[in-house]
Amino acid sequence: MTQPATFAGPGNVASRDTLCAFVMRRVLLLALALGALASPASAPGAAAPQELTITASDGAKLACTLIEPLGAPPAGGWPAVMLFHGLGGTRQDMVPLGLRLATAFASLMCDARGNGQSGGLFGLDGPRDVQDTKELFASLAARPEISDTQIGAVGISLGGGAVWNATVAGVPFKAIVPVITWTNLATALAPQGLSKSGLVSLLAADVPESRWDPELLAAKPSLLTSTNMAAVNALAASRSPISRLATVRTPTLLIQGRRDFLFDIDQALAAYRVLQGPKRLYVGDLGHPPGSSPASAPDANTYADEAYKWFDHYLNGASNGIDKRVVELGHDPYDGQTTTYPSLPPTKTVSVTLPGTTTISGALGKVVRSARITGGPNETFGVSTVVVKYSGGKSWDRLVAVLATGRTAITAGGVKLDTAQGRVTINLMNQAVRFAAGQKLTLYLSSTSLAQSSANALYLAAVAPEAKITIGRVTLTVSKLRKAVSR
Amino acid sequence: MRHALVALAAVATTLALADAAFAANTGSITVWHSPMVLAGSQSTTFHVTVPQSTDPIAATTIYVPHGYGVNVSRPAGTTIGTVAATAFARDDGLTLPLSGAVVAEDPATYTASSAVCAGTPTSEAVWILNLSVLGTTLPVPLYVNPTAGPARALGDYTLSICLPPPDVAAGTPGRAFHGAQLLDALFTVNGVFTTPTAGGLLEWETLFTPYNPGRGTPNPAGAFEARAFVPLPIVAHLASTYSKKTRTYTLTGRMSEGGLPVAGLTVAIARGPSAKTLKRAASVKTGRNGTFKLVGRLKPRKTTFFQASAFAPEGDYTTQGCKTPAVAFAPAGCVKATLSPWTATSATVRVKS
Repeated sequence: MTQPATFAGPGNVASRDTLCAFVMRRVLLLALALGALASPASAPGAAAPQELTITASDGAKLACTLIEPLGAPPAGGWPAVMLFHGLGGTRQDMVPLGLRLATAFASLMCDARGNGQSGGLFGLDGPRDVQDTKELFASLAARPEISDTQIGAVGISLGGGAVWNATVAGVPFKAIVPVITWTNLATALAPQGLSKSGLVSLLAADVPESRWDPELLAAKPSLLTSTNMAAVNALAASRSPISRLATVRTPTLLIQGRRDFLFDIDQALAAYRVLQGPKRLYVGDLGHPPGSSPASAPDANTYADEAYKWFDHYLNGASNGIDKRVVELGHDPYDGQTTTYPSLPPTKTVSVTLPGTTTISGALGKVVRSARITGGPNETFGVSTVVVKYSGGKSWDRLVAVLATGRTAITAGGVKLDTAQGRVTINLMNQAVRFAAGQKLTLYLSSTSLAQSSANALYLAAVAPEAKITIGRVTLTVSKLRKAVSR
Repeated sequence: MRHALVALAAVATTLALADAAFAANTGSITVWHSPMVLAGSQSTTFHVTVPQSTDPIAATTIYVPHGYGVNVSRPAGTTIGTVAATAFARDDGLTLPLSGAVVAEDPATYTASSAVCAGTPTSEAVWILNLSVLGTTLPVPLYVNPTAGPARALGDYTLSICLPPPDVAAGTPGRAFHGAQLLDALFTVNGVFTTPTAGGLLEWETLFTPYNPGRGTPNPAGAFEARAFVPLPIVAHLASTYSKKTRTYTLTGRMSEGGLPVAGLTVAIARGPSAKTLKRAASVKTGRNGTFKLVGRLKPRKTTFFQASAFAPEGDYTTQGCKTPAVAFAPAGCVKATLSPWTATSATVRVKS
């Protein structure tokens, strides 16, 4: 009678179209999109890709592909670009981009250790990965047909982290393009100490645990459950360039997504504020979910063209105007236009009070309150906040806020609670989302983001069924562009 | 104390209850209908909870009380309700919310699992509780069968659910996905149950069979019971009188559940110039006999409408409801009894001043 019949094992899993797979699909498509769009019309073509195995100093074999332009290298060798793929991806994802760059650049792309055909253990852009990049750079620079003083790097998502961490570690890239990536891993994965547990668990599933660095694997439970965060933060700090960015003088084009619940705009802004060398920031329609699919992002041509020009200018000396220091915001929906700012876009804030007293319990408990912001149209930009007065907390250790218009989540944030009553400020991710004048904004407060939509599993971990809390007055402060640019 | 029923129960503590009090394992079930009427109701909701500290549950059997009608012939593929649940995923250390649809399926495709879980390969109905999270769906079958033998004393039908062990070593065949231990399940089915024609306090008996911790084998000796009591019908009665001499109206009413008065209940009184424009105007408490009274003044030559409504939260009925445990079925005793939560609204009354 009691033999288990179901709820057991993957065999009973009806479907698994995970957010993570969605993330990876998008990142791969991004690489393809960049590759497809970055080529000038007069491409002379590329030599056949060369498959290489480069042995790292710890003995790990790194599987790489080298693509070079056809013909004899110029005096001093080909300028080159190192390409870094996203989490769970492989170097093959970057081949289309390498082929397109072959109009003017050699390119080297390798499976990150613990990924694809490379040996070693996955380190999430940790010290060993940085060492790999140093050695791969040296290997590339040592090739006689490559110019050892004209090597740049572009990386997407995890690859963007690799580019950043190698740069701050002193790898002498001539120019870099980090794309939809982090500068502070702790605030990206667990802002305010509360893990984006749904996203983290899915991302973690992208690399088999057997290929993880044991130090990283040991930290996984703490990160998922938002416990022992000091250890998590230390591990994240060693993989985050943020504290050393002020020393970077490498020309940097940052490309970030308007809507990206993994790496928000603030991850790029933090870098843009402190970089000392030539810099430019493009914020467009690409991104991890819920951002637009990079393959179909209507502004893909724009940012891909800028990436190409960035390397052409800083590696080849081309005079193409890309070196102008601006922050550029692609319109959404894209109308073929971008708005440029000489510095960070000017913003203003609007506050509304959402009164009420509501007691909620368990994983399904949620408070839903709405408001309309007069004026507009509006376009969020910057960190919006939610200040919540709460009391009567019983085993309720977290609070997640999702701000939405209709069924569309604009932004979200979460915080750990360690008292039964008090007042807490939840910082919402920096997302650039337009909403119409007078449009109703709905704020969901719960222990998970699923309260807003069953498809929004960003904050997945819930409180126990017996947990309770009373939510009192809430103050929502929306940060928005002084003047909306999207129509 | 909300219910007269509860008040009556506060006196005695039985040996059986004392046994239950020392038991490590516990759980509860609450059942309610919408609406809470006799010979009808459109939906039935079950709320089952099992604390994380209780040994993981291998099987749960809910007994449908005598007198209920059960529609077991919903076509396969028909969505008959919704489910929301909470599970603790031991592999991740996460408490996860899950939700989805309850779908009727063809029993002929579940003969093997039905034989294992419900003791018969040919269940009369199979409903799948689809528990989804992150795009992953864990389908949990629920088998519906008429009772037989001594179990007929507990009800006319059984609703059987079996769960795999979450606490055996990872990689053990049949282990729960991600070591998920179900803590809470709230599911509603529509158009399946018809409430009895005779009112009273209807007892939904539920047996929980835990696993031997860490071993993945059921522990029949540790089986315990929980009971959900559904009082039917819920009646909110309101009447009015008006004295032209004093220009005062008097509202009198009574709240009852299962034919018994509900004491100490807060009754909201709404009033307005029409039956469709009522606003909450006052509140009163019911007395020991479930009655309430409200007196007020009205302007002359006006018509005013009144309506009474009340909400009764889920009640703890353990002391009274677990007095006679079914030890033959649940050796570990009766651990919890509940009373249904409900909302009741009276008819609208009109007062001409």
